[in-house]
Amino acid sequence: MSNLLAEIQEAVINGQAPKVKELTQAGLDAGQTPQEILNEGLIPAMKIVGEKFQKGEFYISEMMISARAMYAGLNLVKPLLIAQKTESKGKAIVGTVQGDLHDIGKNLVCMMMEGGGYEVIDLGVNITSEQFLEAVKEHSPDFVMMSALLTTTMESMAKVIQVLADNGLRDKVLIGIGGAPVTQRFADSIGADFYASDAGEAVSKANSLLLER
Amino acid sequence: MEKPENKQVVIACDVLRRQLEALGETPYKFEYLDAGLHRTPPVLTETLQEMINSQSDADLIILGYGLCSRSIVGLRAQSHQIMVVPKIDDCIGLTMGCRSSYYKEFAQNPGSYYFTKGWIEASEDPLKEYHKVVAKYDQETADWTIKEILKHYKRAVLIKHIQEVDEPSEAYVKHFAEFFNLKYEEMYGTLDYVKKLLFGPWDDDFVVVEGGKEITDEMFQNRHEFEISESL
Repeated sequence: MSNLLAEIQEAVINGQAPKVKELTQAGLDAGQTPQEILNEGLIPAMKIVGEKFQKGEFYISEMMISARAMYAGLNLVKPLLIAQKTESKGKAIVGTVQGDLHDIGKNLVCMMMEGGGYEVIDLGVNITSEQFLEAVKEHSPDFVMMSALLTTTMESMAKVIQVLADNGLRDKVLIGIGGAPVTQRFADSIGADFYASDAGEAVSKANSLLLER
Repeated sequence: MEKPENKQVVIACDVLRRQLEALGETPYKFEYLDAGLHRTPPVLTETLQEMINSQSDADLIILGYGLCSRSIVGLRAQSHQIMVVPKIDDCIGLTMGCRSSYYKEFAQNPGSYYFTKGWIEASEDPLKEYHKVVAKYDQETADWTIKEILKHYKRAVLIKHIQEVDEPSEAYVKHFAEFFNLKYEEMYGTLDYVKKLLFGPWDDDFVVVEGGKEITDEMFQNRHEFEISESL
């Protein structure tokens, strides 16, 4: 890995948005491709941050500050990727389920999915099963991704899956879930297609599921 | 003369220390765990299981935890032990006194940050985090971060477990509310639930696991009775 990519990673982990922006620009000016900066600088750095959060080494605020720093780089890289007409890998609708107003994890998923080459439709928070259904009808996504941070709201995920099934749309989408109380076992129990423990994993699992399909 | 062995153990979150201590003398041995563990559910599960494993002499293990992001799902005591857990989501519900009031409160006022005396003393909160961010980064970053974290919150609520004036807690939560421009409210909870946890009867509000069985989601299932959408 080039020195610059290592520096980008470090600046993302340290949450230094202006520095990430500067380094990203310097990298582009020096002829590094936007893909390299994204896939070898920005994204791996956020994966490290996600791991640190899961181990309790990072607080939620530190993770958000790193995400903001990553975004400063992503903003420079994104227009270039669009200009290259890189085809989107697929479409994902993302939302926090009904009754739940937590959106930090969900926003990270949106950002990492975008960085990972997906088209993302962010429905926001407190999204009812009917709203998920309508969004699936409207956008015909490849993925429906749901987040819940509370044991009091996670059951809504099962309801969304049920409503999609009732409308004959369950098998048209891949359903991924996540959030603090969510586990692989819970995902299996409600019939979701995948569970991700953090935003980075959401992208890698989405990638491998698309390949299988 | 040797002191008789304590065969009944309470393993509880530090946040509940105040409430459990308020019950006075008990026949139990108490093991408190760091409140910060709630941020990392898999680590909490692991820590709890290790603590349970280290209590081989006990024949009764009482957990001072709710589902706590489902950290307790999958835990297992030994075959000679009985394990008792309150059938509740977390310490907020435990302090409010019952699951249905928590669900009702939650549905009516979703944007609420709850405090108990124990939470103030033992746990992190956005105000403490704010000061950490100022120290590590800068004020602008801290303002942005906490604004993001609390953007959907409207109230800061102090739940008192007993009916008395608690000036330090009130002052802290009032300061918190003012600092983040939230509405300050107080409500009365109860010690009844923790009392029942320690002394019984272990009725429908509890999960009682025998014979070294694993704690499962199904054991907590009556939460479906309180579907949030119904009470909205």
